Amino acid sequence: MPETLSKPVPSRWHRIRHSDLAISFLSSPVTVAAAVVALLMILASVGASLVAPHNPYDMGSIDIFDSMLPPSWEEGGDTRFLLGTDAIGRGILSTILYGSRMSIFIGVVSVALSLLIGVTLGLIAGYRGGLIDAIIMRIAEVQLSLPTILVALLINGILRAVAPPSTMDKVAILVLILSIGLSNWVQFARAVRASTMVERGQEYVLAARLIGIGQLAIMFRHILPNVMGPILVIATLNLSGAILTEATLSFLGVGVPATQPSLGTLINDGTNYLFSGAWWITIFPGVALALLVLTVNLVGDWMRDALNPTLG
Amino acid sequence: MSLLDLKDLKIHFDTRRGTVEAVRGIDLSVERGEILGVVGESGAGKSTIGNAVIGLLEPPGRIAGGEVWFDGQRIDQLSEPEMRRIRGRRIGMIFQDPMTSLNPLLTIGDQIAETICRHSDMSHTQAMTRAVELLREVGIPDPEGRLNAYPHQFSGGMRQRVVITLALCADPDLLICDEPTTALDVSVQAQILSLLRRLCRDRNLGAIFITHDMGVISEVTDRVAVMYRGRVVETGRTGDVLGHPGHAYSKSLLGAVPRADVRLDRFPQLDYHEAGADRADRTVIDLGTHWLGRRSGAGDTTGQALVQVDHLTMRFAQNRSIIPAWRRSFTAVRDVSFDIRRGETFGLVGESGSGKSTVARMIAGLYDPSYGRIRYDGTEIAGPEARPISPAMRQQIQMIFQDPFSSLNRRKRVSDIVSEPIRHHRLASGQAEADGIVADLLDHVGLGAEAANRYPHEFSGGQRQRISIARALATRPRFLICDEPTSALDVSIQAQILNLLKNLQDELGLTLLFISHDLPVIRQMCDRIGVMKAGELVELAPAEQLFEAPQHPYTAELLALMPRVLGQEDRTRAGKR
Repeated sequence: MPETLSKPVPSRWHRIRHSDLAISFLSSPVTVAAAVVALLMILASVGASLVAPHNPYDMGSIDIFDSMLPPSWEEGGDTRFLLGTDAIGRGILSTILYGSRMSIFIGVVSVALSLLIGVTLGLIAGYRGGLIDAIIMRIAEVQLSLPTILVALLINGILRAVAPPSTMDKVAILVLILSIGLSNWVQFARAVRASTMVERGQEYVLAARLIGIGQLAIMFRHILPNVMGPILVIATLNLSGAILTEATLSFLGVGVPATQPSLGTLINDGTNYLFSGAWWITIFPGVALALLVLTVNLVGDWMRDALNPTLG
Repeated sequence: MSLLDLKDLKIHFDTRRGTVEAVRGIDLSVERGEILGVVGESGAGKSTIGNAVIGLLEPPGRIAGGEVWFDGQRIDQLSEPEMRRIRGRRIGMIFQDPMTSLNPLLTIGDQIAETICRHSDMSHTQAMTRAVELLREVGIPDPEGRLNAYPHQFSGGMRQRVVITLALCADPDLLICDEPTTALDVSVQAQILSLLRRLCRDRNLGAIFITHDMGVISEVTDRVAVMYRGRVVETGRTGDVLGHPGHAYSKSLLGAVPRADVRLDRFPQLDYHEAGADRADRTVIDLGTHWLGRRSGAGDTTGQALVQVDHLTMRFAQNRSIIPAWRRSFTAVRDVSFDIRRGETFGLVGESGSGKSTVARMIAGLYDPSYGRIRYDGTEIAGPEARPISPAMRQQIQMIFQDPFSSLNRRKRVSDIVSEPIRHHRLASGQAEADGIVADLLDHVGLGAEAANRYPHEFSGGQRQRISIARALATRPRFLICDEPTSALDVSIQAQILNLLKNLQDELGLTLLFISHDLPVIRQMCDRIGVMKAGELVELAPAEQLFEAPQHPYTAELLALMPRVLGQEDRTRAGKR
């Protein structure tokens, strides 16, 4: 036969390095820069206990006489505290690293939660259609009509009333994850449902049905890998949104407790001192938050263009 | 001086994986009143030529060398505004898909009038009068009344007539037709071909007719150029080239075209290809020892038909409503009954929308019929008394689909695709045995075991169809449904795939249900044939009888409209023109 396979089977690395995605990534300098910055910030905050110059939650190492020091390049600054200190003498750089660890943790877990719920419901709705589809999508619309912050305040309020005050600190993080996760699944469900409805009619799905493979296996083993593109895009874009929501809620005081600060609580703390001249306490965490959200968003935008140009 | 002259034209596409030479230096000319056919398989560069002539070559494509002369003027180096004065006005273009060539939001009259106004100084009213004349010329009944109709209100054939009208608006000298009838049914195709032929003669138009279909070439063209991988390998009068092909590629290409007049045991295969491609010799399967010979599930009960289809009807809901009076449904299949005997190839033929694929999918169990019943090997598998299909039964019926690009999961390796049925039905004792079976199956469909570690996108359409066949065989089926298995493939690849199916049927004793719109293919493949029209089975007869003495007028009409290739039969079609 005239068609033969003379080329060797490419290795996994070769396939990744020469894939359209890798080439599109490397040919966009803004994306590469954003990805590098985002990655550095994420790595530094995940390894905060190794990277940070001080441990801001070790009461023994905090000296109240170090409080309200300006950044080291300003007059009166101290070289031990690059970005200055806050009202109780914690280094701002260290609090930012520890704070963004909390923010990123909450962001990633809540996105994972909404991904899990959204993808499962979207696959079922798209594959089964009919009544099941109608019910799931009506629930999604009800969910969409409730703003994230309202849901968070609601869950928070209920838990505050139910849970004993002593456990509040532990529950607070769970509340944040639940409220952010539960309010963002609709986007996943809609995208997955639409792709699934297209894939359902593809002949490889019919072939799998003819082999006798069950519905769940078809949904998760055959269709899911083919609809992963849009899911990755939405997950990345939602990650920055989730981090931002967490910061908003913490800023409002319904988020993480003061003993385990996140970027939002740090900004909130700092606003009290903004007009007394200690601008660095609130500005630096704010810049860190903006940078993190911006770079993650840039990577997400590139991913959307590269993987799925039709997605909003 | 000819109307159009291509001199040593070279077209290159610069990609990041290197330069693709789509057209490697061709010389062609078209005279007024002459239809030049350009024929070749996909990737031969025939559409690229058409696009280059009217300056619609999409980047990264570029003319890398040679000249294009049109009516004494060199046009390959014209600027875009200069080219726009020629494109549409002096050179008209007709594309394959009549649906996407028309704006769905504008009426036919507005679209034609706009084109006329753009190319002349007529007023809108004058243009509308001209539009009526043109629509009448292309054979649209009641042209005045249809001016205000939208494209979706026309059938496919009528839409293509409107597209032809648009191309004629500016009274061009040259028409470029790129697969103008490929999306149309055979009966509509015949009308469009005779219309184009008449227009070229009456208006003294030159035309380039780009197609992959030898039958169309034979019907409509005066001269033909055969292309292979960017080169013209042979050019000459259509009758001479088709009757006595000089080049080895033309010979093998013609040999691969299924014949409508005699049934051959196997297709003559296209054995012309460039150096570097070698042929794999097949080993014949011995069913006594081979894995595929091991039967599972129900034993053979001889003496009755394998598949019995009884008064099958399928309705699709078009408008679901809780109020019964508002419900609308569309009957895709109406009261169809037939039997498929053991070991035979049963053909279903019909135009698009005739319900043949719906019948196949009901037998496969993908759709539940609205009425009627289907028995497989004496067991009811669909109908009022049907029970859920057992895994053993599920294994026996497999299907090969039309589209080689959507029938394989693009995220899985070939080894996973082919071994999935084996793993699901536990047909192998372990991973090692499964791998061995996959390698053997791939080898047997002519791909070679090394294909297992690749992903589907690394294969061509014909190779993917071989993977589909390997997957279908992996359940050790006894009944194989082939739904237009070759309609997306080139004619030489089609011959290979059909031969492979015939070989497998002989070796494995398979029963086939073969569905196609292509009458010559059906004749080559099938023992008995059912003809479907608008959801009904109008005729059922053995193949020879159906082709020699059709009983139903619709069958006779289909046979008469089928384009025939000159040189394949003794009688010529010259007298018919």
